Amino acid sequence: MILSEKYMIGNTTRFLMFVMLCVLSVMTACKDTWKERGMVSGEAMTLSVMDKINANANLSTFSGYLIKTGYAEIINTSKNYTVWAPTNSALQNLDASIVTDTAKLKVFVANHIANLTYATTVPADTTQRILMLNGKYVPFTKNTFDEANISLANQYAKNGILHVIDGAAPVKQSIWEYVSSATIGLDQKTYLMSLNKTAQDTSLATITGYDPVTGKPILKPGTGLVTTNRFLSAVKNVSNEQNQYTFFLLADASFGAEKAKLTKYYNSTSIFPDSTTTNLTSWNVVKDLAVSGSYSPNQLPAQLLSVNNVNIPINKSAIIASYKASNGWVYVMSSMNFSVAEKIPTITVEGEVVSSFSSSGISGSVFYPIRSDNKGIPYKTLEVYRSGVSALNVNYRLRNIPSATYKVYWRAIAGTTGDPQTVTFNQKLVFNSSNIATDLGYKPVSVASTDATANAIAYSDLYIGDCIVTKYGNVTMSLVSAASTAVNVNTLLLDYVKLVPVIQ
Amino acid sequence: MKKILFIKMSVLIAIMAITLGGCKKVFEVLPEDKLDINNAYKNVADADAAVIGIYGKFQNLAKQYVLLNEVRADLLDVTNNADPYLKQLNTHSVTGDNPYADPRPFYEVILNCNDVLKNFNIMNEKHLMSVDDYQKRYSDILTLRCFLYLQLGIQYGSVPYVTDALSSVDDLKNESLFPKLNLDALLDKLIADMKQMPYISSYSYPTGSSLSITTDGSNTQRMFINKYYMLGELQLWKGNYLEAAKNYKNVMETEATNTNTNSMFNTFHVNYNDGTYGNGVSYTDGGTNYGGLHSESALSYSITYGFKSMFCLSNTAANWNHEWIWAMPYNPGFNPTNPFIELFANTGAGKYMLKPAQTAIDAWASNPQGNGIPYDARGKLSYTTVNGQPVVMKYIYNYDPLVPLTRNGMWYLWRGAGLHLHYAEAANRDGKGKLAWALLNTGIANTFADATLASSTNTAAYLASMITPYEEPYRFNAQYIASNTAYRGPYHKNAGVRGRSGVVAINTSYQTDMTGLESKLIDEGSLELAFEGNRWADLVRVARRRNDPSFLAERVYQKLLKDGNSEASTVRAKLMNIENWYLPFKWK
Repeated sequence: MILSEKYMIGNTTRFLMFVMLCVLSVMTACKDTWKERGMVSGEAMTLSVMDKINANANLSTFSGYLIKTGYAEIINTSKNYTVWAPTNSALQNLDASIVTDTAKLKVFVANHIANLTYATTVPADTTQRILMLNGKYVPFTKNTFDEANISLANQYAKNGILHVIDGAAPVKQSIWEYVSSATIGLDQKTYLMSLNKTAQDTSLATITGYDPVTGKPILKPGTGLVTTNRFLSAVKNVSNEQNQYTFFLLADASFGAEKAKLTKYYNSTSIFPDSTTTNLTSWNVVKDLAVSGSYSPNQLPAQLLSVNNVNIPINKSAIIASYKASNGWVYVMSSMNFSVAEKIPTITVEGEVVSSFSSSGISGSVFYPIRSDNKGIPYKTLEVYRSGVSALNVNYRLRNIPSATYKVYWRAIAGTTGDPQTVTFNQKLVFNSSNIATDLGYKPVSVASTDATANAIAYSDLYIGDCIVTKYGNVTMSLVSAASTAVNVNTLLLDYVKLVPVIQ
Repeated sequence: MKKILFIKMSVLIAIMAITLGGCKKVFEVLPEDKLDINNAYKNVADADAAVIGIYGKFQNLAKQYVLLNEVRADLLDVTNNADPYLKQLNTHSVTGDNPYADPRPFYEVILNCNDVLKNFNIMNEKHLMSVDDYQKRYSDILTLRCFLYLQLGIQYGSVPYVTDALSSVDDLKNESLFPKLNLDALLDKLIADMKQMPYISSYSYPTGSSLSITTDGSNTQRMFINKYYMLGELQLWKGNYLEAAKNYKNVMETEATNTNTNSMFNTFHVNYNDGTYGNGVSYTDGGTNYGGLHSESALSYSITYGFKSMFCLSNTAANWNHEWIWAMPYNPGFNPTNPFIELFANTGAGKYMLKPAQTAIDAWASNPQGNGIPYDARGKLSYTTVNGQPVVMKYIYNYDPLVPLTRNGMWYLWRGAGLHLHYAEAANRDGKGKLAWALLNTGIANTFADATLASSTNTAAYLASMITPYEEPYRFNAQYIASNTAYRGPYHKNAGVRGRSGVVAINTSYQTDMTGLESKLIDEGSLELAFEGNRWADLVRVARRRNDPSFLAERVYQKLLKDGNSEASTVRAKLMNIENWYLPFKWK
């Protein structure tokens, strides 16, 4: 019995079944290349960055380090990494102390690995600073990584990119790390390190309980300690890896010479460490020794402006050593001849910025008018009119005044439009520093004039006398009215006082 | 077959006949929530409703009025937020589709006025309201229509003058029926219209009238147009200076017979700040004992006294009423909504489309005060810097960005300072330069009193010198001596527009320099009346009178130049042709 008979299948049906079977087999055999047009295939899909490194015999040393430090596992994970792998020949001269010390080796290896993928697709003149796994930023361009050349770029893997470089990228110190471990310029280094302060950060410390009375947390001693440094907070934070700076380290002789130029302006008998003459002087030398921006030796201009608006004179022949730090440049200088006049600038005290009055109840007599000077420039003044108080003192608290002899000038003009004080009158300035009073004596105040020449004289700075500040610190300046209660006699008027230090 | 059709038709017709016949006046049922025109004017209350309705509709023109009069002129500038149509106004390159240049909204109110006037006449003939009520209402609406036509004339040059009650603005599109009149011919028509008015006085409705009431926190008296002021404006535009001065003087005399001396002395007299009342710049420190010495920071930002208070007080306050001749308050509870918040504010609901022009800011900065402060403090009270942007404050002092939907404020139209400046303009042209100078600068008494007689025993002669030596309308009595309060002339507190705000007087040589003083009067408008919707008209009027387009073109050019607008030179060249001052008259 044949099959067709058993199942009663006709010839036509049999033929159709045969055709359908043929079609089915053809269709399944077909690979749908159209559907796969967007898929990435090849070894980039299957190999990790670590596999890629292992596949390259020329990277076996680095591969060994990766395994030794444990980074091999990390770059095998599913996050994305970029690895700049030095060749075997690049690593053969690596300092043995790094190779043998696992901790150092770990930092070294991490200096070649970054999170995220970075390809060399940027324009040739663009430098990126890439954050490495060890927290340092390393410059990366189309052709270079730090100072090494990229010999094989953009090896894509399933979890990142591999670049092969022909030299190792040694871990660089930051400016602050370099200064902390400097072997030259020790005086400056010692002073800077003396500015370190250790304090407990309440957000980092371990809390052992809460004070039942105040409700404040009780901190475990010795935990959450952080070190701060006044130089870093007040001048420039050159320990910050993220930004770039240029720092000048003065050799001991130079540091001493600059201090010697300034020391007389910081005469102090204070027992507080920060306020001794030598520390104040040191501070005023170092406060102008760091700027923002990385200036390589070629880019270094003849002078830079410090954060305190003092020009930093740079004599390139005085550079003893330079160091390219991870966040900028450090220059060790054999001399740096700062201008004392810029370090000890003229002090201007605006009349309207009053600290206190010697008499209460005169607020109705105190005015802060705005006037237009002989050149049409508006200025604000203090005017005390009709106070009825004899020898009224208006006090100005001047802070951190260097010890020096000052030439004192004022600008005060009566008889301007709208000023009821149309005639001249006397007032005086008294300075009080370290319990020493300097009375410059009553002087007449200028009166505005309709004559242009006379008016220009009235509006010029008027020399009042000299004031000697013997010790660095706070000075109280008092503007004192005439010893009279009469209107138009006991008036006080002040645009500003200028204290011009005599630089010797 | 035909028979069947016939039967079918007959049945249908029968049904229709039955259903329609059964309905009573299917097509004549009157709507229950709308007033039919036949019932609209039955008595004086209906007439009052018509007047209020007209003014309500008129208030919708506020935005367009301020934009056309300020953005086209030299004190207000557009910001980057401004829409393209506003920028067109700014650079005098208005296209036909610009909604701000559309005359239709003006004509809609005009046609409403015409309709109301027609119906008032009918009511009068049918004795549906008293003659007195009719005269006041008719004159009020007629004056408002004159105001609208004058605005159209200023903005469009020549416009169709329609007094018929048309039912739709579209009827006006037929230019053959309504030929256009140029500004000069239009002024003749308007002056003739107003001269035939049955009733003229400052107040449209005196106290006690059913239209002069206090409601929702506002008084209605100053919401209606001032007829003397309007006639003064028309005469000033026409160049009839004596007639203009007469009418303006009538406005100053509005409260001349009031037994309340505060109202009598202060209303529209531009007086110095007396400690209780005053609308000039003031300082909170110093005083006469201190020779007028002031701290810069003591500038008064009071919202009840002084320059700023003019734009803060409600219209029921005495101080407000001493200054404002015509202003329409917005109430957040009703339409129309205050449009100025959006235009000017840069916080809350503000869109900050307009800002003070640098020319205006510079003008304030270069006008010193008599107390030695080297700038005009009216600037600080007219605009202020909010979040780093200069913001026009005059319209938005009562606006709190934290309550963005409560948009209080007013549409400010006419006030005392503007009245004095316009009067001075007329007086100056009529040969009374010294009087014009006095009203601009230091006031009547300071200018005319003979100081050499001050210390003499001849009090009578001294007092006599305090009355201006002219006939009306140039006669002002500013008599005052401290020792005898019986001698107090109605204008003894007059301080002059500049004097009131403490700004240094201009040189007395201008008293005999007619064109020089006229320019100074216009300059003063920028300091005192900036952003209040007067500027374009002031510039056009004087430039037109002098036949000197550069008077206008140069000022607009300076604004655009200081704003860094690249079209500044093009605009100046354009405005040197008078025809280009006017907007295209295109119906939308």
